[in-house]
Amino acid sequence: MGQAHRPLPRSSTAPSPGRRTIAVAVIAATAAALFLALLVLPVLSLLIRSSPADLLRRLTNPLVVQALRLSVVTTCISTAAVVILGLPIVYMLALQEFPGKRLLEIVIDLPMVLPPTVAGVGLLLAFGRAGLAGRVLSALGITVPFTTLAVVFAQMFVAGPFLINTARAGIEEVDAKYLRAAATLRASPAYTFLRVILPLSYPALIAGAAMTWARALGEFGATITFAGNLPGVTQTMPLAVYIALESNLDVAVALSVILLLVSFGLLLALRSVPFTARK
Amino acid sequence: MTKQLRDFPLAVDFSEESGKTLVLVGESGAGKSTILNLLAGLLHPDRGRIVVDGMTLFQSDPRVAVAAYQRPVGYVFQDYALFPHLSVFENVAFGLRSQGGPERAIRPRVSAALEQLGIAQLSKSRPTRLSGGQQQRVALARALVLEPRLLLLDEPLSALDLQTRQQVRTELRRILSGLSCTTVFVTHSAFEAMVFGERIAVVERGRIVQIGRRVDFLRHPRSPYVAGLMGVNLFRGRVAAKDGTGLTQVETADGVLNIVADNATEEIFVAVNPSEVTIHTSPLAGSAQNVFAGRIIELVPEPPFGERIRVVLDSKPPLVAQITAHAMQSLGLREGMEVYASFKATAVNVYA
Repeated sequence: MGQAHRPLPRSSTAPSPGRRTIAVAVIAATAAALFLALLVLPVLSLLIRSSPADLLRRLTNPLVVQALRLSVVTTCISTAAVVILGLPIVYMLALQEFPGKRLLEIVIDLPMVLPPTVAGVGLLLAFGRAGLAGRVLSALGITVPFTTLAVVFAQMFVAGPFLINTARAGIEEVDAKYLRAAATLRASPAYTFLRVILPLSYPALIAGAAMTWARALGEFGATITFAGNLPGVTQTMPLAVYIALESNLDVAVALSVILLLVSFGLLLALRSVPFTARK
Repeated sequence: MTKQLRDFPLAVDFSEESGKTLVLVGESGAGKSTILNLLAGLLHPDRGRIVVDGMTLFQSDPRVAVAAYQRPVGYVFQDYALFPHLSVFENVAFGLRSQGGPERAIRPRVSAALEQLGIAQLSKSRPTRLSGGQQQRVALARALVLEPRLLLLDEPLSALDLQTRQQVRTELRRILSGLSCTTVFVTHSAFEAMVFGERIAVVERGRIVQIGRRVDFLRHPRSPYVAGLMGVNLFRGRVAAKDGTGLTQVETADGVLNIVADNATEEIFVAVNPSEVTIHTSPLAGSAQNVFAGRIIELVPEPPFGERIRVVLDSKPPLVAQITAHAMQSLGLREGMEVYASFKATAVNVYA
């Protein structure tokens, strides 16, 4: 039987990557490499500067110990305070509508975008002896600026919004059907919050608290402006690093490495725990 | 009570005797679930009054608005809404715990409720591990353990597959008939309405178009919609054209029908027996003059043996067909499927 052999059509397979595509890929790769270098090199340099043995020795320096203790104490207090004082606001933002809500949201977001030193000046004006709140506190015999309390205030101010926004998002994730079910089961709004909302959203709360703590730990600008730089009283670790740079680079490096490792550990922990609420 | 909804205003006025069951039946979006939410206090009416067993739960003037958590109402949601972070026992105990009260009073009541519904052995399980039927029983136990004066059920069977639905339907009927509280049951299935309701209210676009006993609905459907719901195809229309061969076109609100009728006056009713409606999976060319496309809303095996299946369609106009179970299987019919329904122009009854 005659079978016509038609030649296969000329190759119409996919064209090989054009020159333009290659050029784009190369440019993208170079840009990525440069950016990553910018991010990675400083961290790398910190880590290779001294040996672990050296670092451990530096840690016994009284300046270092004081700064470390102060940072840990103040950040824990400010995080706890933000959680306790912030939950009612989180509740209101997540579950209620009211006039001025948009304004409140902006006010809460503001500390996150305000330059920290500006925040410090604001805090000074508010809580200084002549300030709106400072006047009242002075009369009661309480001074705030340049005390440890100021450190806590500064940290709460800049880090608070993190908790509020993260916790709020977590609560909004809780399916409204559970809230309705709870209402039909004789649960008051408070009971529903404690027994339904919190258990279903606590991972987000924890993540929020962790980020708050991390931000508080790294706070510099507002602290130095409002609380000053008094060793043992207001000289937190970031401030101590700054001061140490002028005289003792090794101590500065030791402190920096500690902060670096803590941050890294925190981020690792946050990423490995899934923090969306169960549905 | 009245409430403005997104597409239409809801305005209903009804009452039910203590201890009886009222079924609200209608299409999705008709407002049935809204009525339940208003009764439960999850929504407040714009205007109106809600009284349960003599207790005023809502009144617009003077204003009384009892919050949901203070109403003696139990609610079984369509998707059950069982708390995922609690065990079955804790789910059922939730309502008792939220009111405070000693543990030693709570435990026995919860156990009794679980026993009554045959789920005591699931006490420690998590809701996510349960089947649809089991979840429903937990949801029921959770509501009933609080001894509500008014029990609300939102489409309790629709989340179940056809097979489970049959079993659960019988069970649920038994449980509900043993209750002393007033029950309002919402469904989109006329069949379920017949099974569960001592009284039935048809809800259409926010209004109750007919309310009464089961029997009244079958004998005197008050509108084509109600008739269709009950399984009779009844259309009301105007004669639009009549050609020489006796074929008459009738315009109804939902579409044009082609019938053969000698005694057609201007305004007429056209009734089509469901057994005269055929179902096709593809559009057909044949002698049938009336072909309508639609989606299957419901497939109901008819008692006593389920050899005949009632097929409810959302075609325009809506149609109910009766086919054999064999036909349903060989065509592979399923709820939600798009099909074509047709009936012959001669297979109608015409009334003036």
